Amino acid sequence: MPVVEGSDLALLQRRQQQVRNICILAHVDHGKTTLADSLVASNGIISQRMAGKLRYLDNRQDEQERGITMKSSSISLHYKDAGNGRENDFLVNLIDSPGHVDFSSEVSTAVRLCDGAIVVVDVVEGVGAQTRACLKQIYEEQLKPVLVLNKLDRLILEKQMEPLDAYFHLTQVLEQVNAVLGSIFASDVLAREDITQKDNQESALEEVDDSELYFSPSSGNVVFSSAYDGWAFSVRDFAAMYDKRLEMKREELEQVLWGDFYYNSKKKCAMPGAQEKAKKPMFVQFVLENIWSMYDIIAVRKDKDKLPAIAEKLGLKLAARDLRLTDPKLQIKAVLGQWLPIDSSVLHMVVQHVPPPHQISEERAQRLLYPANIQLSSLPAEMLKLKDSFTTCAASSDNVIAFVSKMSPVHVSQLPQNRPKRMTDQELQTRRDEVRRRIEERKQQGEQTELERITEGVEQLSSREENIPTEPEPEVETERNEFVFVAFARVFSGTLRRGMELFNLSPKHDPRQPSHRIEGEAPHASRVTIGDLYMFMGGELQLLDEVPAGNIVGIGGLEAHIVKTATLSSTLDCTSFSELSIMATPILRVAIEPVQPQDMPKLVKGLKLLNQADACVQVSVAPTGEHVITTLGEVHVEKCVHDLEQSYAKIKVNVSKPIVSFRETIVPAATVDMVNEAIVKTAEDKDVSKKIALQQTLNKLGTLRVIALPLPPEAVELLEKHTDFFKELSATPRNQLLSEKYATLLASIKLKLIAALQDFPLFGLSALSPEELVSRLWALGPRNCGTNLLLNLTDYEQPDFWSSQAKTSDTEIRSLSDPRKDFNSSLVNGFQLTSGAGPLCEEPMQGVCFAVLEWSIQSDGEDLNAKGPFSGQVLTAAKEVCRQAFQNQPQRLVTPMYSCTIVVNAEMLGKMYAVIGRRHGKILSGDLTQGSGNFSVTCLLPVIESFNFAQEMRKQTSGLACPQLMFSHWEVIDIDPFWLPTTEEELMHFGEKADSANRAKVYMDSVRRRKGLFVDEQVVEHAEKQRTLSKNK
Amino acid sequence: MSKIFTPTNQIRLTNVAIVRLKKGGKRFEIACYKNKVLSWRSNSEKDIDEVLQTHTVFTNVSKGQAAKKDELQKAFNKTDETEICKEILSKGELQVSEKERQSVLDTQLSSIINSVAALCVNPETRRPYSASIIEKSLKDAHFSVKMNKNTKQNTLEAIKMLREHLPIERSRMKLRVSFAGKEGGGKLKEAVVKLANAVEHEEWEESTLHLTLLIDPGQYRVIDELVRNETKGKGLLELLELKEVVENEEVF
Repeated sequence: MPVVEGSDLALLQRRQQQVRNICILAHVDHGKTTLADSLVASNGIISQRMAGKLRYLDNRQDEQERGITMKSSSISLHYKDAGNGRENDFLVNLIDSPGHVDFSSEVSTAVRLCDGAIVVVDVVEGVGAQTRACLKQIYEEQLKPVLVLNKLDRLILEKQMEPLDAYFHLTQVLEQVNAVLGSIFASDVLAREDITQKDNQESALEEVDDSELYFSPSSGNVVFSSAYDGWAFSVRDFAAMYDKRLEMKREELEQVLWGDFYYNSKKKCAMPGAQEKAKKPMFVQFVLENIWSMYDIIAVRKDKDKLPAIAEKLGLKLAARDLRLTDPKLQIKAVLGQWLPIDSSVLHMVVQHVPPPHQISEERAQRLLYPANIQLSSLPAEMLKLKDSFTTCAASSDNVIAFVSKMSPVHVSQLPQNRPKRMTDQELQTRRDEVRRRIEERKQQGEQTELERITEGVEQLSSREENIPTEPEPEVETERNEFVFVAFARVFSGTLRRGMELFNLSPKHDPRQPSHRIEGEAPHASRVTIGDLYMFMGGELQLLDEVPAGNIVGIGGLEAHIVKTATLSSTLDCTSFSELSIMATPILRVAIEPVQPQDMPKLVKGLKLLNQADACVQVSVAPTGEHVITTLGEVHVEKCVHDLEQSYAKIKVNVSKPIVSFRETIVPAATVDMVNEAIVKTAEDKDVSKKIALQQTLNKLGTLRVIALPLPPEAVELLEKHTDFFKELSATPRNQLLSEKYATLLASIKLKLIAALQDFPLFGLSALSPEELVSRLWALGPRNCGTNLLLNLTDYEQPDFWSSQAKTSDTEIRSLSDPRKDFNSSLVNGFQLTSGAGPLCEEPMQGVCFAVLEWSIQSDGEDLNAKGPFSGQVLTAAKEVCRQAFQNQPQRLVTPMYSCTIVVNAEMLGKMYAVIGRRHGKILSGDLTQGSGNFSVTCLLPVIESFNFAQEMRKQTSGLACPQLMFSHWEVIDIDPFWLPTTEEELMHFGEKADSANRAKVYMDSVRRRKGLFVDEQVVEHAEKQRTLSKNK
Repeated sequence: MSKIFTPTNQIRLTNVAIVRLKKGGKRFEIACYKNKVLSWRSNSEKDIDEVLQTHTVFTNVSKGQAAKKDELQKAFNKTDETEICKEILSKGELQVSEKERQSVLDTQLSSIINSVAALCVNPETRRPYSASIIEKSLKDAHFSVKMNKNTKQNTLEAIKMLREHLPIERSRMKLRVSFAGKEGGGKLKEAVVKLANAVEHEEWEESTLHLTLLIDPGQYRVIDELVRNETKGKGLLELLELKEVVENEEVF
C-alpha cells in the first residue's frame, strides 16, 4: 500500500463531496479499535500484517496495557472508491471511540463532530448495554449509522456452527439491533406526540415513516466482518461475484442474497420461502459456505497444498512468503484479506451511506444552531441567515463557525513544528551509511559493552525509517509547557485559517439580546486568535494552513480561553451550540492527595490540567481541604490517577473515600416508639422545666439558663437560603450603612421569619408575639450565618440584630452601663462554638433555637476577673449551657441526600431495588417510560452510602442501570443515635442491641472514630474468647 | 532434687490482668480479664462478670493467695467481695493491656490530627489541610503522642513539628479592639499592632479608636491583658471570628 502524503489529504479537504466524517461506536471489546486498525492499514500507515494487533489509535501506554480504548482519537484516511464505474478519491475522517461505560463522555465528544457512525456488534455477544447507549446517542444527534457485524470467525472456529445455524444466528443479532433502534424511535415519537390528541395509542407510530431507520444487508448498510482476520464483505460484494454465474441482474441479486430466498438452478432465479421448503437460503449457499470451507481448509485441516489452487481460482496473487507461513491465522489473513478486503467493504459502505458534510440535514442544523426550546420565528434574521451557510457548509462563506468538543492534551514533543521534517530517501541513505560506518568503527574497538549498543542502534535505525530520525530531544523543556492543549474541533462553515481572530462564545451567549450582538459589549463572548491548525493522524499531528468547512481539525493556542467545549464564530449572531448531550454524569467522588505532603502545589497544578483535558471529570476543593474529583466510574478514576501520576502532576497520589459531613439537630418529642406503639406521657415528661439547662460561670457570679427548641422547617429553609447574605452582612464593618438593596432584603427576611415563627411553641416560657420574638433575635450561628438562632428572653437588651450592623456602635452600648454589655460578644461566641460543633459528633447544628431565659451577673463589688478573665468564663459557660440544653432534647443526625434517577429495563428492576434497599435509599417513583421497556426510577440516597453505589449498581444489573446522582437536600434521620430497645415489643422486634436498626448510631460512631472522639464501644467484646498468643512462658 | 518441670503442674496466668490497690498498709489484688478494665472504667462495659475472672479478692493473684476476711474488714470496712472488687477496679492501679493501649493511642492521635486540621490552614490558600495530609506529615515528622499530656498540649507540639515539613500556619483570629485614643493611646496602639499579624481595618470615632485585627490565637491572652491593664478596664476587646478560613467549596 502506498503511503498517503499529508498534502494530498489537505487537497481533498476542499472537496466536500468527497469528505466523510465518521466515528466508530460499540460496546466494549466488540472490536472498534481492531476495525480502525484495518482501515488505517489500508493507507499504509501500518502494515497489513500488524493490523488488528497493533491498535494504532490506542497510543496511550495504559490503553495498550489494559487493551481498552480510553479516549477518542481521530485519523484522516484516504480512500479510493472504485464503485459505480468511476473512480473517486475520498477523505475519511475517522474517530475511534472508547466502549467502556466510564469513558462515555469521550463518545459524546466524538459523536458531535461526525455525520455518520459505524456501529460494531460482536455477533457472538450480541447487543450490549453500550450498544444501546450508542444507538440512542446516534439517534439523538441524528447521525447516519451503518452496521458492522464483527467476529464472524468466532462463529466458525469457536462456536463451530454450521453455516445454516450461523445464518439464523446472524438474523437474530440483526433483529436485536433493529429492535433497539425501534424502541428508541418509538419512545421518541411517543414523547413528541401531542398528548391532547390521544385518542388512539398507535396513531403517532403508524403515521411516522421508519423504513429508513433499520439496518438491512439488502439495502447495503450492513457489513459482515472479522476485523481480526482482516476480511469483511457486504452482500453487494458477493452479488458482484455471482451475477454472471447465476445469470441474474446484480441489483436483483443484491436484494435476494440476504433473506428467506433460495436459488432455483433450473429456472435460474431466486424463490422466496426457503425455510418453508427446507432449502438452503442463498446467503448460506453462496456466501457462508464458501467462507466456511475456506476456514476448514486453512485453519482446521491445514491443507497447505490446496492453498495455491484456491488463490488461483479467486484470482489472488499470493506471495511466496505468505505460502510459507505456518500459523493458519496468518494464512487466513493473507488469503481472505486479499479476497474480501475489509477496508474497501467498510469504507465503501461509509461513502455510500454517510452523507457528505454539506448535506447536513435541516433538522440537525437547527438542533445544533438554535436552542431547542425557542420558536424559530422569534429569532433575528441575521441568525436565520447563518443556517444557510451552515447547511451548505460553504467553505467560501464569510461566516466561520467551528465547534470545539474537547481539549486534548498533546505532549510538546509530538507537535509537528518541534519535529524535524521527514527525510528524503537520499538523506535516509546517508544516515544509514553513517550508522554503518559508526558500527564498523565500534566493531574495531571490539568491546563487549559497545556491541549491545550497536544492536540498539540498528534497531533504532530501522524504526526511524518509518518515522523520522531524531536527535535526542533537548531535555531542558520547562515543566510549564510540557503539555499543549489542542482543541478537537470541526469547522461547520467558512474556512479556518491560522492567525484568524474569532469570537469565543460561551454557553450563556444569546444573540436574541441586542447587547449580545454588539462587538465589545457582548458579555459572554471574547476574542481569540487561532493558533496552529493540525490534522489528526492518530497520535501524530500534521500542520495545516487552512481548513475548509466540513472537516475535523486540531486548533492550537486556545488553552487559555477554553476550558472544555466552546463555539468559535466570526460573527456574534451565532448562538452558542447546544451543550454536548453526555450519556452519564459523573458520580463517583474520590479524594485525591499527594503521597508526599510537600507536593501539594504540584497536585493542584496537575488537577487543573486534568480538568481541562478530560471532558467528564469535575475537580473541586471541599471545605475540609480535600481535593475531590468526581468521575464516571472506577476505570475512569484509574485513568485520571494515571494521568496525574504520569503526565500532569508527576507525583504519587493516594485515592481515598471523601469525608461526608453531617449536621445535628433536635426534634419535638416523639409520640410513637420504634414499633409504632404510642408512648404514654407522664406529667413528669411534659414538664418543660426539665429541659432547661442551667450553668454558672467558674467564679459562680454569672448565671445562665437556656432551653433549646427545634425551629419550624420553614424558618430553617428561609435561613438556609440566605446563608450567603448573612455571611456577607456579618463581614461588613459596623458603622457602615447598608446599601438600599441589602436593607430591603434584610427587612423582607425579617417579615418572612416572623411568618415562619407564627406557630413556634414556647411552652409558656414567654408570652411574646412572633414579632417581638424576631426582634429579640440575638445572633445566628454558626459563623454568624447558619440556621441556628440565639434568642434573648431576658431583661437584658441585646444589640438589635436587624439594625446593629448598620447603626449601633460600641459607644452606645457602653453608655448604657450594663455590666453585661461588656461580655455580650463572649456569650454570643459561646453560642457560635456550640452551634458549630454539636455534642453528637462535633458537626454543625441545624435548625436549633437557643432561648436564653436568664442571664445575670451578681457583682457585689467582687472582682469579676479574680479567677482568670471573666470574658473567657462567660464564653465557656455559654458554650456548656447550650450543649446541655441541646442534649436535654431528643437529638437527631441530619444527613445530606442525593436524589438519584435510574433508567433500567424491566428485567433488572428487582436487582436494582435490592441495591437501593441495601444502601437505605428511598424510592420516590418508578414509572414505565412510554414506548420502551424501560423504567425510570427516582430515589433518595444518603450521601454517605453513595460511595461505590454506581459500581455496585452496574455489577448487579449487568450494566443495564446507570444511576445519576445529584445533591438534593438535608434530611433528618429519624432514629435517636442513643436509642436502645426498651419496651417489650421493641426488644422482641430488634433484639437487645438493635445493631441492625440504629443506622444513626453507626454514622455517628464512624464520624466520632474519625475525629478521635470517645466512642462507646469495647476494645474486646467477649473477655473469655481472647487468645493467648505467646507460647514459651 | 528440684521439682520436675512439666506442663501439667505449671500454672499459667493467661488472659489475666491484675489490678492492685494498696490500702491500710496491705496490698490487695483482683484477677481480671485483659483489655476489659478500661472499658469498665469508661462505663462502656456494664457486666461485671465480663471484667472479673473471679469475685475473690487476693493478696497475691499469681500465687493464688486469697485475702482474709478480717484483713478486708480492716482495710475496706466491708466484707462483700464484689463491692470490694468494684472499689479496687475503680481506684487500683493496673497494667494497661496491649489492645487497650493501642486504642487509646489511636483515639488520641486522631483527635490531635483533627484539632490540628481545625486550627491550621495552608498559608497560601487560607484553606484547611485535610486530616490525611496532616496524619502523613506527622508521621514524616516522627511525631509521637505523649500519653501524659492532654490533647491540646499535644496539638500545639504537633503544630510546632509540622512547621518544618509543611507550609502551615495557625488560622488567625479576628479581633476588634476599641479604646479611647487619649489615654496613652498611641503607645497602646503601637503595642497592640505589634502583636497582631495584620490590621484589617482602623477607624476613629469621637476620640475612640477601633481596630480590627487578625492575630495568632496564642496572642489573644496577651492582647487582652495589655488592653485591660493599659486602659484600666475601659478598653474593649471583642472576638469577631474564632478562625478565619476560606470554607466554601471551590470548583475548578
